[in-house]
Amino acid sequence: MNQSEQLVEWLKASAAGDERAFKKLYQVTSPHLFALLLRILRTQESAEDALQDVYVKIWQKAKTYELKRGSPISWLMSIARYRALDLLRRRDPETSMPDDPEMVAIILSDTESAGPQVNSETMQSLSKVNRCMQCLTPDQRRSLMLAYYEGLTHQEMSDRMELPLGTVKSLVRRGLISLRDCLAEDE
Amino acid sequence: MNSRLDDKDMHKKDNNLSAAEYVLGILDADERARFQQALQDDAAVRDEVVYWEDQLAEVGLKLSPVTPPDTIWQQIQMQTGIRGTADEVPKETGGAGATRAWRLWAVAASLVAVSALSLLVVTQRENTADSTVVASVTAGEATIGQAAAQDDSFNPFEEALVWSSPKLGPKLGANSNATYISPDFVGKIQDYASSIGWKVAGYNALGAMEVSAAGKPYTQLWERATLELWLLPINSYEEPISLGLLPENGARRIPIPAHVASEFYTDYNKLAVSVEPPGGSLTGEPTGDILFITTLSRGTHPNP
Repeated sequence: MNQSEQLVEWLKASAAGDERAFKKLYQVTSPHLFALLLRILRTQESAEDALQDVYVKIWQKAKTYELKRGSPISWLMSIARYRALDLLRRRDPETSMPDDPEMVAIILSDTESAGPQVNSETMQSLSKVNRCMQCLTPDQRRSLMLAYYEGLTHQEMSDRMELPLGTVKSLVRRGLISLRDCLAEDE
Repeated sequence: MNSRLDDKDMHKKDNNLSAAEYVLGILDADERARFQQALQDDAAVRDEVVYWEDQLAEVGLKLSPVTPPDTIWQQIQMQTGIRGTADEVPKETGGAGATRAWRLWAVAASLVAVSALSLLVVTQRENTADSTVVASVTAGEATIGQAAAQDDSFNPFEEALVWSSPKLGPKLGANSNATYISPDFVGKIQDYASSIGWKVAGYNALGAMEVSAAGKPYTQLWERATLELWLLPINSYEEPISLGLLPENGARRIPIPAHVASEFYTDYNKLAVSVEPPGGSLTGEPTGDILFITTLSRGTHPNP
């Protein structure tokens, strides 16, 4: 049984009320979700609160998971990311963390390493996405990173990158088209 | 014909891009509303969303994993009703978990009561037995309302524990002339959902308080967990003072720390209960989750 199949089994068991399976699911997946929440929300407190909310939701919604919803880990990561975006959009701008110009550089360097809990199967997928990311122009890649890792809106990206709003929208779209085309070629 | 195919292909590509932007979270409110309608109506659009969720999740997985504090799992257990086991009691003390717990109490104190499990905490206001404030806190949002009749709903185990009355409270003196004394302060810690709770009666003359368990043993809810009682200052910037472990069954007499005896009730009028490692907190501060906070009231026991 590969990692993805194992996660599916744990999700199914969790849906049936198996608490041990849910704990295993949490132990294996929470470090990845927590890393993402920390990256987007930028404070330990917010990320901890969000992680808690996310796993309560996973416990409650496990029965709604099915394979056509995508891989189990992407389903879990999506729940976490949508929760983070929800919190981010509701956050008072005055209490938000200040922009960190080094953040993108840190993200890019961080993403070069993969933790011990990511297995070779996942690494293979990561290489594909990583390879495709390298096909983008630096500004396209940066705009997608800012949107994904920091949850920035078009306007916020425009401010951060000091580029007109229309230019940023175009960068994102062109970046996504290139990424999609690259991924399609690779399949 | 070709033109029709081109249109269809273009529409598919537009949906694909919109799906990517939706997953990234960069559509504005109007665009998002339109897309969500399309999501409901069109299975192909849902497939596009799943495609991008799969792809972008892999980008997220490139981050180095970060193990969350043990306290998060405990919080999840409490919110979902999942039972704990010995290995799930926090092993670490201090650090981020302690900071969070402390922060939780400080926030909770300002809200009168807090519960991470939608537990209800009843706090009795001074000399107003029928005026009860019930606070329910879930997902960081608090609502506080008057619930005068709520106190009666504590009855599932009310009869199991009688308020410290002159006939049942402690005696002052050692011989047959010893007199039963009245509590100077009383408090109630309770969980409606699981019928677990404690009653607290403080006696200035004894320099101690009696804490009596009521209802079910708390270990039925938190297996092998240790619950610690804390005395909280009115000023949330002061540190809480440990009063020791809560009894699972029966009553326990707990000395009021001498250095706060003169300020008891005036400056220290709240009690909190936290989850701690076996034997209690090693740091002198709450390190696990704060389960309950209750405010002490002046003792108003009935006459004999």
